[in-house]
Amino acid sequence: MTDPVVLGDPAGCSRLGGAMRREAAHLTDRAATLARSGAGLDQWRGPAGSAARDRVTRALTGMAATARALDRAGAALQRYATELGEAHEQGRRAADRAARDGLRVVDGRVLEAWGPATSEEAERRRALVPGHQARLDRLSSGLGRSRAQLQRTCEELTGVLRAQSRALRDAPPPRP
Amino acid sequence: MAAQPSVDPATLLAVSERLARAREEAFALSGELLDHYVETGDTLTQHAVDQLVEQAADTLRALTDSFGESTRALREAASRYTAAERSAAPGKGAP
Repeated sequence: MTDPVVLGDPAGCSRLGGAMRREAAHLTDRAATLARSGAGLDQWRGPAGSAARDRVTRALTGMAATARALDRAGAALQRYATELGEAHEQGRRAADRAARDGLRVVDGRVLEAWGPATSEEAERRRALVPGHQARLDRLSSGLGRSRAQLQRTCEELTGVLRAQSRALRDAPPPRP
Repeated sequence: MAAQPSVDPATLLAVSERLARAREEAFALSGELLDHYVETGDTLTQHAVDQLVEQAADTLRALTDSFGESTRALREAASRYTAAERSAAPGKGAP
């Protein structure tokens, strides 16, 4: 059994991304229903009515912002899942090609395979290492960019969602 | 004598029911997000995704709480206004 050249679970990333986008669609739908229903509060005059409307409006705003953030996060995860899946496939092919040339891939490095080899054969293998390593490095570099992109998106959206949590929790309590 | 409400208590109850449903859904969505576990294959990326999922679940819980408070406030107001209506028209609805 050989170690995988690329780590990570594309299916799991895709599942989470899909779940986030479904939740986003559901929240958007529910926010529209609530906005229609909440219009019934417009006739409620006085400070209590005004406070109730403000609170519902704030929750609807938070709901919409959460839905947008979840949809973007889900899309980013789905994109990453696709790129990770492709990287897995390319990694497998790179490892197979290396094995055919009497080499092996360990932790992203191309090494000579175990076992006896004549000095000519060992020399031939060593000469092939840079080409295989360069192919592997390109793969690793591309995947690194995908990961950095996902990381930046997640960090940005975590900030957006944190601000929403704070706004919702800092809202004044309902008037008695 | 209590002031007459400017809004029908039935309207407040109808909105509160919608909010109560939204509260239950937001709570369920929060739990569903936390049920997922993903392996990104990279420590820093993994941390960023985990943080995002936890924060999203927290925001959904904040929405849950907000909907819950609004639901309670509307139900209490509906109850007060219903009592005010009854006291304003004591004979109404009597057998």
